[in-house]
Amino acid sequence: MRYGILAAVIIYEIVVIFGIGWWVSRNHKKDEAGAFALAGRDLPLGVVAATMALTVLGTAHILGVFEMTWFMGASAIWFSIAHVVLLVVVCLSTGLWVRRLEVTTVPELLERMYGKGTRLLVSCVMAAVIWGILTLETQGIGIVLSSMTGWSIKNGAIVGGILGIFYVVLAGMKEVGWINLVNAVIMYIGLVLATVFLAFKLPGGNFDTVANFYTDAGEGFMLNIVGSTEILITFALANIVSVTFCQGISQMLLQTCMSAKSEQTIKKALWIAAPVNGLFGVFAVVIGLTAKTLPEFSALGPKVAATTMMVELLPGWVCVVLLASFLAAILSTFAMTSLTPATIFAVDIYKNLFNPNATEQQVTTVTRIAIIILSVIAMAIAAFLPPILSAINWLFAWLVPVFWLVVFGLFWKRSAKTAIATLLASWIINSIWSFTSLPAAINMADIPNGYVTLVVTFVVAVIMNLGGGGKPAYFKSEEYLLTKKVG
Amino acid sequence: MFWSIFIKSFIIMMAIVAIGQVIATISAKKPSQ
Repeated sequence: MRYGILAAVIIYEIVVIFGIGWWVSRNHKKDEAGAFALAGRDLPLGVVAATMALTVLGTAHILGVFEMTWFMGASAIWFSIAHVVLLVVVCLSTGLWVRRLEVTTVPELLERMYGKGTRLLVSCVMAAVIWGILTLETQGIGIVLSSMTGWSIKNGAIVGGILGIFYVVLAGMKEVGWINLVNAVIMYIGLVLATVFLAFKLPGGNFDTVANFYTDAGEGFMLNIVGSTEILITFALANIVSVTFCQGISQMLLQTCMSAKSEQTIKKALWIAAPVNGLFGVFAVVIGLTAKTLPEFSALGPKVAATTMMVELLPGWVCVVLLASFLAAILSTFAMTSLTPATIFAVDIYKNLFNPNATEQQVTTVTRIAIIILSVIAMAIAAFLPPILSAINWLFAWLVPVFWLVVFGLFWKRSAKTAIATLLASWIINSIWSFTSLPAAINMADIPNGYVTLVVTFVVAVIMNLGGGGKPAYFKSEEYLLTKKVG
Repeated sequence: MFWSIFIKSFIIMMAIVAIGQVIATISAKKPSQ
């Protein structure tokens, strides 16, 4: 047990979370519309950029990239590049649309285009998908704390979960945003320090021996970020499709855009969020490549080699900053994955179905309660370590049809029948693809769920839109033009 | 090795951002928008 590292990191998290949480809640206008969930739609550039970068940077970017690098080398960086593509799509299209239409949730946008039935369907599915990611992040906190301090995964998940709840519950979106800004700085300080000290520990004080190891072993491709054509198609493109069309419409990322001061803020944030998010992968890849070249850590296997190497080789204080850096990445995602399904529950279920006259205070209270309940259930499940990562492919594919229904509805045609048929067809096929032997029977077991739901979405939605009636695109409709004039 | 991976990745990432920005600017100038 490394009590010193553990205590220092927990004290750091408590000071930052409660310090910023107290400072933000002091100036919090509780009765203002969207004050808790959307920070009064007034978040500045730096906060928006940091929050967007950190929301889609979590466990998979740390433990996942270490493991991917072990098998495919530097081309694992395409996992991070896929997230840069995602940020481009969100900051230049979907994020701008939700900010322009001033919706509070993505399902609310679907109701404007396709009616209440579609809103309800998407609310339930989107909240569940994001909650699945929350469970994964809770597991991630436990695993990272355990591998770097020797603490049990269960204790790590519970304490991390409690810190994650306070990351968001004191003042909502504004609190998350400002803590993210501080954590983005700490994250890069930790990464740079760890990389520099790691290089000093290697012969020659640089990474030349790591490069030579792979070249001498005839594995020069491990140092090549472009990789082979096969990797580009099966890994890079698959990640781009799955990440962009799922997260590109998810409340998890779009709630930050809804909270931004203006559309201009979102566009500018792209130039900061993209490198902050993307370059994290470079450090993870270099650490992963190095771990495999050192026999004492290589023998431990892909899951723990990199984290064990960092703890063994780096000075204690650098380990503290690096662990704080990893927790910054994971806790920020935890906060957004608890806030966003809670917002969907409070706005789309509680207010929309049960209490249309609810005050801002009541909605905030329901959101807070939902954050705590969702997080506690995630902590309880994560402690048992179910294989959640293997479910991510299936989980992400649920939102692919939602992305395209929003695009078609805003720019082409709107029909509730088409929307519901497309959603149900995609979701049924997605589940068949994961839980039956059909893909193997038709010799397509390697095709990821994201590709399959994308094809089904296009076939059903395009055929039904071309064949049937429907209202004109929302951006060309009278109701939109009227709200624009009033605004 | 570190700088090689860092610089190549940075160039690819910023090129993607720049291409996205160009596409967004061109489509915003279309009359239909």
